[in-house]
Amino acid sequence: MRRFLTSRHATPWLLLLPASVLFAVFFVAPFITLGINSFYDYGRMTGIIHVFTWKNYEKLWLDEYYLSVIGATFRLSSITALVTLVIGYPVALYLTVASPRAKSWVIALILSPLLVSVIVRTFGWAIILGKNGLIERVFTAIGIPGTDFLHTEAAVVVGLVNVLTPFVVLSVATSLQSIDPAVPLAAASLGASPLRVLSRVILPLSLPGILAGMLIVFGLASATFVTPAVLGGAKFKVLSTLMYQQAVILQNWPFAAAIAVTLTLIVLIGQGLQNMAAERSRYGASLR
Amino acid sequence: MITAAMRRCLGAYAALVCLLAVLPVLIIVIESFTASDYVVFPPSGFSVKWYVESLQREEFLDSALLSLWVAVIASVVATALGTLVALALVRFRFPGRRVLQSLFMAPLSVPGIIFGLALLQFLASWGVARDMTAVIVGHVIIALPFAIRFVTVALIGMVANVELAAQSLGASPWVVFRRVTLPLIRPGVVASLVFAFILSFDDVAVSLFLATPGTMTLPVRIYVYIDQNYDPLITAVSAIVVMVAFLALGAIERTLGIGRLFGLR
Repeated sequence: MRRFLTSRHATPWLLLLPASVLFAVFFVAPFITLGINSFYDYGRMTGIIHVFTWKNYEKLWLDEYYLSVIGATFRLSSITALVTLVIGYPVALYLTVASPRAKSWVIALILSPLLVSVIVRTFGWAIILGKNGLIERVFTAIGIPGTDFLHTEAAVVVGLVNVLTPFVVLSVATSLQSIDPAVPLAAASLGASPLRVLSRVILPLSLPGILAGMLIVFGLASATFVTPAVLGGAKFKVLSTLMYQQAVILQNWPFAAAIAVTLTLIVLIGQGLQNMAAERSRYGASLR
Repeated sequence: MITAAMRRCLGAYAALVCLLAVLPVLIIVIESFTASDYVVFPPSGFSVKWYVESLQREEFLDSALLSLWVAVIASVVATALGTLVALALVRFRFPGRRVLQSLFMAPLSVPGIIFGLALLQFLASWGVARDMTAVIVGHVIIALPFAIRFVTVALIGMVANVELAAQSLGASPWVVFRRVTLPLIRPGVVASLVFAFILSFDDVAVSLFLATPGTMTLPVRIYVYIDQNYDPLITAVSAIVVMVAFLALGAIERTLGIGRLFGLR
């Protein structure tokens, strides 16, 4: 044993030991606990009841109200993914033609909000969209009073789009950078108008970046908590806010665990699709 | 194929998106100097009374200090562990390397709020009370993938032969690391420290479930406050958070550039 510990073969294992122990105890084990808890029963008087049951999943996946919450989560994430794409794509396109100086400015400005806590940015939108906010002031000035957008789905989408657009821009920009500039040039020299080059050449070639960006946004949007909680208000429920309510306010940990497992599955499926898309585009590129 | 006019249009559009990206942060900072007692935009009058008030509120001061402590400890621990892991993964080949690599990257795929809930239920099932340590452990785990990535990039970028040279001249492994490797990977280590600090200092999702009334980090305190109140006090507190983030941002920009941090440029 002593000889093993001082030999070169042991070095990587010794280097990995602290982080591995930390991960095994505080990352892997908690998720196992979460999985187990999601199959336990719960009583308002008794707390967690340690008997196996499918009850939590049946409730979440079959009850009409909870199904509508799952639906609202999918809806919100899909709308957010679409809107971020529409907003972010032209910015990514600009990055491919901008001067290096303009490019670094745009990147810095788009990315810098990522370094500010999401709670602060979300509160900023509450001030813009809420009562006596910027939007209401502008609308009142042009003669449409009483436009308080706070606590609507639209407000949540605005907040999420603001937080998540950088991911689409980065993803699409990476994809656009890998396009051989000769290809769009060839199309243009053969007489295609700029719009046609864009729609028939550049757009299809950047599809992997579009897909990856949208799936990243979908995954991140489906599990964010702060934005729907602050901008959506108490009545707007998605899986993450439902989970918080069940865990913290109602103390029903098994049900909250079942929601967490469901949400994890949704996120992981999104990531699986994203990996598949990445694999396929690599495969396609190697064929070309 | 993209004409000059189109390019100008795209440029104007990109500028608009940039403005919208920073708008909420700008609004907060502007609003924090309001003289009114309620939130109204544009603010009426100019005063620093909300800053004075926020510095007098003990709960915010306590939370700010706690957040700073947690972020400092979490970033140092994550960077130290991440450096060890990166060294093992880059410099050695061993069975199970791939599996461990994906394990350490896994926190990137798991939403913070779910990890927070899992950690809460795990600690409770073993009867462990939540405290500052629980928050630090949570932050170390979500920061570790970034630490590993930054140090890995730095390790791949340096010439490994200088390590061999030092070794063949009789330096012990520790001396090789301390005198040769560490100075060469310093940019990666600094990036990891700064990024982990920001990640921890900004985090709401993981801390939300782990915080107790006695150990509430600043972002969680802000969330709890705006859940019940709506007044300019919190804009001043938020503006202070923004300033901390941008001080850190300045540190990154000076050491290696923010674009490179996200893999672009």
